[in-house]
Amino acid sequence: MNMRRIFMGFLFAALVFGQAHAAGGGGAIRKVSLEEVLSIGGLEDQKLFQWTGVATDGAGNIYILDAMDYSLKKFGPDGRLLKKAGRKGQGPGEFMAPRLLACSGERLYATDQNVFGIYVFDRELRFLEKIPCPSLILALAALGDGRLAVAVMGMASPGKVMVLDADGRELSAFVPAGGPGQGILMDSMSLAQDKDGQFYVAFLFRDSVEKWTREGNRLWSKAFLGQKKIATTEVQSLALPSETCFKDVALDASGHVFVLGGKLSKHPSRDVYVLDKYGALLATFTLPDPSHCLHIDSRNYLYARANDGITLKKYRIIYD
Amino acid sequence: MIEIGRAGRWARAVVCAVAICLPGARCGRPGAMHPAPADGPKSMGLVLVDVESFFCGACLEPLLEFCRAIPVRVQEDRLRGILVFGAGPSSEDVEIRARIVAAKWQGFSKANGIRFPAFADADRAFRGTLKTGAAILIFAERTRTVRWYPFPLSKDRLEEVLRILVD
Repeated sequence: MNMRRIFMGFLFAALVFGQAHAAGGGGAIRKVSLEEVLSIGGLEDQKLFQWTGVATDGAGNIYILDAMDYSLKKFGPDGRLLKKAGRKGQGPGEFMAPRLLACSGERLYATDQNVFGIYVFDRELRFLEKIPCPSLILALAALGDGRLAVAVMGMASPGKVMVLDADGRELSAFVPAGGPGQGILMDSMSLAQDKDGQFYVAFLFRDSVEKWTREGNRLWSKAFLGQKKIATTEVQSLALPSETCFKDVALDASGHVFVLGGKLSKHPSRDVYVLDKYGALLATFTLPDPSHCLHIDSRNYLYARANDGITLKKYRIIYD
Repeated sequence: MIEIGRAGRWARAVVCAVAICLPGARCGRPGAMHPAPADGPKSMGLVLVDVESFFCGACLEPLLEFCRAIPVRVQEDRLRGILVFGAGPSSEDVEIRARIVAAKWQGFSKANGIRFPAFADADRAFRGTLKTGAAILIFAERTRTVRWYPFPLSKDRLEEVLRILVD
């Protein structure tokens, strides 16, 4: 358990995270740019301190996990803070290291870095229950009808992607392992699921973006960063990967795949690779500020980090 | 204890400047656990916090333990913090980075019940001084000495710091 905590802490520092969402399709585009439409949190207003996870609902409300004050916050479509819940602790509705967030229907799903499970809240931020999970969660996607997809950390065995029902029972699972550099943390990944139920997986420390069927068959695997060798650093006598490749993957409403590059991209934590559903690179663009994650809502607004986590920016995605 | 000389000449100069600027003998009411300090010049403490440790709960736990042990009034009147930070994730200038760090501290300190104010090390004078996530520099009024206590503090060291601060 202590080793797991060390690894999770290492991951936290290495990337500051990954998560996911849903869509389908995927047509031809040549250029993607962003137009800022909303900014939440700044140097003076004390709304956000180190946001980690973001999710949105159909009404345009924005939900944000904040690791610095151990909270879950709800903002209106105009960016006004509507509600705040949570505090430091290990009781119901409390956090020690809040991390991933997803929204589906009336429910919000949140993870805590060192907790084996998923906290469920309603949209008014009332804590409802904890869904058990057999391992620590690296990535989370709400699939609708109460199902969840999680990427879990492996210790003795490789990490895997699991689909859980509303009670945490495993419905299906597959291991998106393969390629070079097997080892501790090498299976750290973010994931997204499209309308057909197929998964996109982006590896944090491997130059690999992959598409998998829900049955666990790999459809394609792509590399974009020219990684020749996985660099490592020694942490408590263990060689852990040190250079991030892909920090997050998200899908827009048309099924285009947006992959956020990490340290190895030209503009670290800012370059976004836009792929079609076959993995062809359609365009790249650069975020104004480094981010640890990407979120795209059902109306094709993209959310990313600014000011090292005290600001969340909302952008309109412009396709040419 | 480690000699302050390890912090470098520039840091020493800044320490002295900060020490002079620290609030004087305003403490009067008793703390939660310790008797009220006597009137007159008071010992002071400068808590140095490595902001990168914000990402590591285990690294910060010694600081939080320390804060839980220090009475609120002593924290407010006798302690000030320096937030030590490295390069940010982007090329934002140091001034902006310092303000970001200070803003983060607001949320963190409030959520953890830390009552001493802290200031970002905008000139980066203290960079490289912390080998662990935090340390405290004590200006002991009675002996007119400066003492350096890297965290985590042993029980004895914590008692010593407390004794000096409420002396």
